[in-house]
Amino acid sequence: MSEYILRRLAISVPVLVLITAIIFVLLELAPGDPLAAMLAPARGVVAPTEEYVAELRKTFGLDRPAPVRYLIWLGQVARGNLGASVTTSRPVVQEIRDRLPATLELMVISTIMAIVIGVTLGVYSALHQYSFLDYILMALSFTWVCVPAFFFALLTIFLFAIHLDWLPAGGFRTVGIEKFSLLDNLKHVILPAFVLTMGNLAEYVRFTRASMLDVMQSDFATVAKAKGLHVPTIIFRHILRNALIPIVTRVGLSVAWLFSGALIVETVFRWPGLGVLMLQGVMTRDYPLILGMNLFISVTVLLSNLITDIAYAFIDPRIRYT
Amino acid sequence: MFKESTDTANGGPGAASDLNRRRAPISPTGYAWRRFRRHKLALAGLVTIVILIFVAVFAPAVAQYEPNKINLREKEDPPSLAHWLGTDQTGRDVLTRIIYGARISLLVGFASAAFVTVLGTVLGAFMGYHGGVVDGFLSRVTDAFMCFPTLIIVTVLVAMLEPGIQNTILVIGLFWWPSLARLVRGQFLSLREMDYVMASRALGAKPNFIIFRHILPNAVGPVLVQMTFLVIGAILTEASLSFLGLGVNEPTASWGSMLFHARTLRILEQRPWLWIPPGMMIVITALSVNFIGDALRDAFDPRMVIE
Repeated sequence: MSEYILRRLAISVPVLVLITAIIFVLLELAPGDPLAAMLAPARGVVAPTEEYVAELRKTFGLDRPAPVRYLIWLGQVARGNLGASVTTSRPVVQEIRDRLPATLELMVISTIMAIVIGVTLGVYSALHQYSFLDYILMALSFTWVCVPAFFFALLTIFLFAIHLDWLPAGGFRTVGIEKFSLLDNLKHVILPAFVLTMGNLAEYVRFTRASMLDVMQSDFATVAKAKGLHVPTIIFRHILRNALIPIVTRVGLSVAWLFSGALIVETVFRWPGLGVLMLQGVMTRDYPLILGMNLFISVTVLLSNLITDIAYAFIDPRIRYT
Repeated sequence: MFKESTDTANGGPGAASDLNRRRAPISPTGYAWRRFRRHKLALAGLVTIVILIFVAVFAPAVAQYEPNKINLREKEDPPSLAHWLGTDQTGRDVLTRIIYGARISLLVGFASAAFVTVLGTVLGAFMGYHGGVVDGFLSRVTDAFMCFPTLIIVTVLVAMLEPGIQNTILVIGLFWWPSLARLVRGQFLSLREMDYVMASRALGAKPNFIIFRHILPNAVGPVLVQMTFLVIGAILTEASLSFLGLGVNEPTASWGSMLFHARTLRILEQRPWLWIPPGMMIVITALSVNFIGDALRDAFDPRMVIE
């Protein structure tokens, strides 16, 4: 076990280095001088002299060759310094920390919805293979990948918020209500979380169905049946418990997708999370902010993949990659 | 549509008689086409795509109006005989803009997929055939690239490079090759152990000859299927970018950019003809490609033999 974990960790290190290298190259390629951004607030007061700029260049190590600058930058990143946003002058880490809870709320609720609905439907599909509902679900999950998230989001607002008037059309909470109320907030999260769920749901249904069918073929399922066990016991105690193992990987792998989805969903529903922050950064060409966020997001994805693999090995002792 | 396809692909009564009638040997591509033809939905998808390409190419002849002609006297008109799908905020004909928008979607979809395919196939073939240190390094590179959520990195890069069609295609290509490279690498890992590869090597064939003449043709099926996913992904990504205001530049019409203004509740609520038709076009196009991909998966599955 520990050998497997060590091996898995060892593979992740070069990937982490490559991710930071990609971000560093992009930061270097991004138009605009980091110093110009830093000096921008003082621009109107006194124009900085050439010597002063050269001096600053030296202090910040900007005159050093690129690999050295990469190491300096990496050292700062390791200490949690991702630089400052050009538009707000606040540290990028601070900006991310402010917006992260809203995005996390959306992602967690959406993932719970996807697992509960997806696994239920997947189990039903597997137990009633080739039934009418099975076909409908398969057709839906087939169609699903073809519907852009933003179009689906607009359709849900059109239907549930405007025509049926069941839920609010966007925002984090009702404007005008002074005190933060959880119930009010939850009402606002349902539609965006639902849209984010739908992008994932088809995957969960397909995955659960395939996994269930796979386990149902296994010898121990036949043995359980031969022993004359109560059918629900076979399904829930023997088959489902084993079939759920691969679902764990699904959760980890969906993290990258959730970030992409959040960009769209948060924009349409005006949900004040990382996605909206990212789009604002893109619109204002705030490169330190958007590339810092990209670093944060890709490292999060890397970590979630790593944790998934390790968790998988813990849950399923049969897994031993060499 | 999935199950029935696998069932019929094993050879219904129609298949057998079809084969008996024509005794001439059939090429592998011929077999693939026979299996493909069975899928009625895939044929419908193929027809849809062909029609769309035709409409996109001959857009000026097909469309009734100029796509960018502003007519403030007829703004936000509901669908009528003169304007079948109504007009937008500046009085431009929605149907005309949808017809011209097909150019952007199809161009980005197919060009990006082609770009990714070339890049991913060459790198994947190299990794899988040669193995070794370079393979190890490139594998880590694919791991690293795959940690970037597609839409987010594409959004950032397109913004850095200035929005536009070429940059959208370029960025999608640069960030999507890893998934295809992995697939091709896997194919090559198993195919390079085949006897015919060994035989060819024994006869003194050069690696590039073996890669492109012997192994690659055998890996065409999975690559083609993956390509359909790439086309769908590229079409949806372009639409999402344009929807966010980062794809094509105004006034060029793209299906995604036509939904841009539906972000305001007034348009969303009162002018459904402005955003539902272009949204539906995205779905229909992607679905057609998906049907084609599903049939290709069956057509090129070596385990399914017609006899």
